[in-house]
Amino acid sequence: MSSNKKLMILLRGIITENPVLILVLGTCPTLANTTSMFQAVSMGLAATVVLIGSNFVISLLRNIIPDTVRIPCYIVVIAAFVTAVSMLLQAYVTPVYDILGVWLALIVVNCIVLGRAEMFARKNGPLDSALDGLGMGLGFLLALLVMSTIREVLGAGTILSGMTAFGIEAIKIPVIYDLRMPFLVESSGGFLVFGILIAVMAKITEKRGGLKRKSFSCEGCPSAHICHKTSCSEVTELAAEAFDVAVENKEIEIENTEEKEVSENA
Amino acid sequence: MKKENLMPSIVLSAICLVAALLLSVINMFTAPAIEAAQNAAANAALLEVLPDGKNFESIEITSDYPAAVTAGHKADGGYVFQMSVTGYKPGLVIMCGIDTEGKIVGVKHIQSSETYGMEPELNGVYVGDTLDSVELILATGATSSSKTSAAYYEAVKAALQAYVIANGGSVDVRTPEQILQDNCNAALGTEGKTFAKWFATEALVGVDAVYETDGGRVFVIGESFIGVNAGGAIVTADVSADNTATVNAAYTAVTESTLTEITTLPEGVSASVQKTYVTASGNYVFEVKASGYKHATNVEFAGIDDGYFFIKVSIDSEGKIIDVITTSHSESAGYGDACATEDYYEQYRGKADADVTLAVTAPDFHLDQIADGTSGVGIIASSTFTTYGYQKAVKNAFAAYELITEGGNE
Repeated sequence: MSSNKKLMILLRGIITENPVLILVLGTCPTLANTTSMFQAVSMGLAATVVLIGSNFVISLLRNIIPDTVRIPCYIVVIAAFVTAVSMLLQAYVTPVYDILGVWLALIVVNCIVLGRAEMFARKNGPLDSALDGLGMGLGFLLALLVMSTIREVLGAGTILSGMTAFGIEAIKIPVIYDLRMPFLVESSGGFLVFGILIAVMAKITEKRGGLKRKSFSCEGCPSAHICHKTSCSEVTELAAEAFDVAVENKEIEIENTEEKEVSENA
Repeated sequence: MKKENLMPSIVLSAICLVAALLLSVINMFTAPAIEAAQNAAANAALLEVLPDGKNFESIEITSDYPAAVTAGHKADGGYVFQMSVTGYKPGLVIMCGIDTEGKIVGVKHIQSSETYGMEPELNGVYVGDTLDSVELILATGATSSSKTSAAYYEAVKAALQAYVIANGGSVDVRTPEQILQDNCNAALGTEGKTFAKWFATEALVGVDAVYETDGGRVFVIGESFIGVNAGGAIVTADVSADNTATVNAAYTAVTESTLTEITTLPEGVSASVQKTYVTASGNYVFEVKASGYKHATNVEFAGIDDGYFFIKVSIDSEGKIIDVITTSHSESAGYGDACATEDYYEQYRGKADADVTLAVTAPDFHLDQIADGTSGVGIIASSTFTTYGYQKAVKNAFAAYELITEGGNE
């Protein structure tokens, strides 16, 4: 696999398939942990570590884990990573552990983590899976950071709040502090900012030809045995084929560009 | 069982096992650091009440310490004790820091369900006090926060006593009730007996209180506890001649104060007066049913005629109250339950009918009729219904007394 493809895997989670702003996953922790930038970065980093670790291990075990118990197995692996991160934070970075509170433990049920295990890690190699975890984690972190910056700066009129334990006091931003809109740090403000960011991302992706809709197979669907498999498979196959063709086209386009660059350099 | 059926279970179990194993290894490394971090957090709380404290170490709280003390820490700069006391509600947890000279340097509540929010003020009032100088300080709005103030005093006093004990000294850590019981036992030469206060049906000259148990009585004259056995002999040593005479007279009055029930009452006596007795000396005892907050809420909100409280009133031949006691009640904890305390009974003793004025004409759920600071015989702040019920019951006893004695002895 070319280094460009690896880069694509990494960048996909950050921009084109941003888990929060494009795939609209992990909404709950996003809304809850974006009242301050420090909390958002803490949450993003913790989730990134869990994503990298769980994707890597699940990919390593993908040929060993039977299909019938793969979800429980994924949960065990993810829970183990979350517990480990939780213990390490409590031991060595207690202020981060305190500020994240219950949201740290709830990473176990963050659908980004389980989603990447199911959608990517079980089908790809360990290195690619780890890269995918890193990309998705950074995408999650970036979304949280953007959202928390807007909420903290405009809602509280401060930056660097919540870092008193590290000897850093919150800085009140002149003028903005006096004109701050406190509702932005409330739940309603969270939804508003979240909605605006999704709209902005939709507009950006629209300019670039729109967001490619992925279609997923029935595999792993708990209702697969009671629904009309035939029609579902047909639709899925068509969608999967279209997706594969698009990916191939993209890869060809990248390779052509590379070859062109090489020849130009030569 | 087929291999394909077994495999999923085996794989899942193996993954669980490996995950648990790895986590236990991580726990081995992180546990000491987590403990240290938790200790640092706990120390931060200790430092709030003992700012100069260093190297905090937990100390064992034995039965020698006051019962209120639940935890203690020794530091280079002094001690920190944690007390759990009861104000208006149980579970008022207070931390108290004491320096090496035995002075309080910080008080802080770490858990409280008190109603009036006086804790921040009370946290500051005892700073600088020692065991010799500490005295009860009432917070602002003393009537409504007196129980919280008393609980704070109990807590800081317990902390100061614990300081003495922790330094190898000894102090009397008994509660006032324990001291009373111990004094009674000592006076009567008994051990572990429980004494109950005698409901006075006779006005005893020179005697403050009489306590009874199955082996005799104890008469309290000032600071002296004088025991008299069932045979009427004084068993306490070194009793002065004056006190001997006073106790003998009181003993005779108590033992001869037999109650005879009056079954036929004059017309007009309130139905709330359930039983009436007369003593040989012409005093009267009335058992009266009273409607307090519990009964009023039962009627108002549940339509149930239940929840009365019951009192006993003794009135002497001059129409003055000898004693009152609440025999049973379900009034609210922290509010109306003050009607069953010795301080409350004391307000009525010696009072005539004219001295007791109803604080309200009729209690109303929509009006806070008795405000904090309102004074008068039998008033309980913020307890309009209990106050009215008690005063009304006493008034009914006086009315019955008037009717029975046909205008009293005027």
